[in-house]
Amino acid sequence: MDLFPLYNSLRIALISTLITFFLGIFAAYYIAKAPRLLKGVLDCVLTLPMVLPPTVVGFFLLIIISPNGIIGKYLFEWYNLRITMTWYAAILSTSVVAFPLMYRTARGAFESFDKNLLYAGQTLGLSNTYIFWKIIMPTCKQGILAGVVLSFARGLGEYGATSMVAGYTPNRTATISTTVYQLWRESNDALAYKWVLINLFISLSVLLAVNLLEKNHKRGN
Amino acid sequence: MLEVNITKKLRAFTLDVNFKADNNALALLGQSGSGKSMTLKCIAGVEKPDSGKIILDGEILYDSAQGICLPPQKRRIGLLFQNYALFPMMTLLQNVMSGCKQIPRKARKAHALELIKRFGLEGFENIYPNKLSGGEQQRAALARMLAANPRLLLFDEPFSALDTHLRRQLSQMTADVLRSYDGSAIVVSHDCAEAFRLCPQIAVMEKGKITVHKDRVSLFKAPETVVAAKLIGCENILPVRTGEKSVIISNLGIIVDKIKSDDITAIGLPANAIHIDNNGEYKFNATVIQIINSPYEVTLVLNMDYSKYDIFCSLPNSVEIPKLYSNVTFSFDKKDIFFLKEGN
Repeated sequence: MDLFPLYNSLRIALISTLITFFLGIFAAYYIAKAPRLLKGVLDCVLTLPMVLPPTVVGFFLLIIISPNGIIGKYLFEWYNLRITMTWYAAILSTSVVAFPLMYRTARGAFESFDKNLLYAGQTLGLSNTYIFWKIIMPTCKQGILAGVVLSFARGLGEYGATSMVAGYTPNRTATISTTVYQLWRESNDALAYKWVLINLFISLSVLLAVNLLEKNHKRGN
Repeated sequence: MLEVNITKKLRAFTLDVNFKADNNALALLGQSGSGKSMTLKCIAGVEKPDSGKIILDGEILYDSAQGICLPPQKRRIGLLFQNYALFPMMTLLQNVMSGCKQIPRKARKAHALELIKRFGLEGFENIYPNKLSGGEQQRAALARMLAANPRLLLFDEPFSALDTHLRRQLSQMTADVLRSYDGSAIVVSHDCAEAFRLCPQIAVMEKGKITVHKDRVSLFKAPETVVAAKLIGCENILPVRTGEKSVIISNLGIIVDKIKSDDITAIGLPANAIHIDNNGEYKFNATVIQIINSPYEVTLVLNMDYSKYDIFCSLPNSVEIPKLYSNVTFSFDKKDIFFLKEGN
């Protein structure tokens, strides 16, 4: 059995989780502090990829990065670079789709953060960077970790947008989800079952992790 | 010396405070939502006023005209929170050490341990805040605040989350801290006894403004405004009509004359200023409609047929208490009356 799809899915999910981690926290932190109107607007825009059909997200991405897309055109002309139909195009699609999960859970964590801790740190002379990494982040750890796990799981299972921007090329862009679809089309049920089981196992582990995190969170520590 | 003169628009009213505090502790006394905490936050620099000036020991911390607004990190002002705001992911020692950024790295631990000892927290160094009792958390927060060697101490309702016994102990400890502390301090409170214990000067805040600011003894002798009278615990506050150089307390059927009556809208009469005899300057008859026993005194609730206000009269336990529903003559003296105006 060729394990490339597992390897490819994992690397795509890991890298896109890393990206959404920083972008999601950055967006959450600043939007949690924004005035109410701006907050509402940005919140809608940033959460949109979660509720849009993944194919619509894929469509938008293709408009931007395909060789005759808004940005893809220049990349192709100047560097002869073609992003679509590569494995890293999938990083882009999974990042966009998983971003809202990270952003929303992190924002929830930041909003429930006791502002007095921030104020106490500031009056004690601690720098804002120190306060963010040593006080805010550890205090919001549970919420942020839950966001990380959820966006990782979403990245791992992403199909719609990924298949549009990265397609299915065995040993190059195949992920678990696109492989299952392909195997089903080829009526290769035996192999499809194997991949379905692998997928079930990973998903269940992730859910278990989220539940454990939430339980710890409720216990208050 | 601290000089504050700031305005800031809040949802319900505009904060507009103007006061000076010398090296004696000052209490900001007010009902909840009167802008006390916001004033402290503006002084500490964690909130920004809309305009005005804040000057501490000659240094400008904030001046909207000159565009100066020092970040809280540069102000060296200690702020103690109602919920203590200890960092939950750090041990007690780490919490106290986080206040030691001003001193050399090597000396920090010794400095923190010394403060921990001073506040009787030895043995708790490696304990996390959620395992400490309310009183211990409060002392830990005091230690952490003092570790930063602040020039000004701000206390935001420091004891409101504690029970009576602990409250007394900790306010004693805070009084010691204030005594040995060489700088100004501001204590925000809604409890007049606490304010009196800790601060020689008391400023009363109403809807974002300071309406009365005087030393504690004279505040308790003459609260001046209705809110101040309520805050110092004056039980009877009755509306009055004013005549020329007199006020008419229609609820008691009494006219007090030969006083300066401008702006006076109410009088305050402490429950213990009313005696159950004929000897006072002003007399009234009332029915005793309720008798409330407390450990050291008895409070009578009095009513007159023509009044919608109940009058409270407290008597020492030693006095003979009239029967319930009996009609009795009470009296009081002019010197015990507070003449009150509206705050704004």
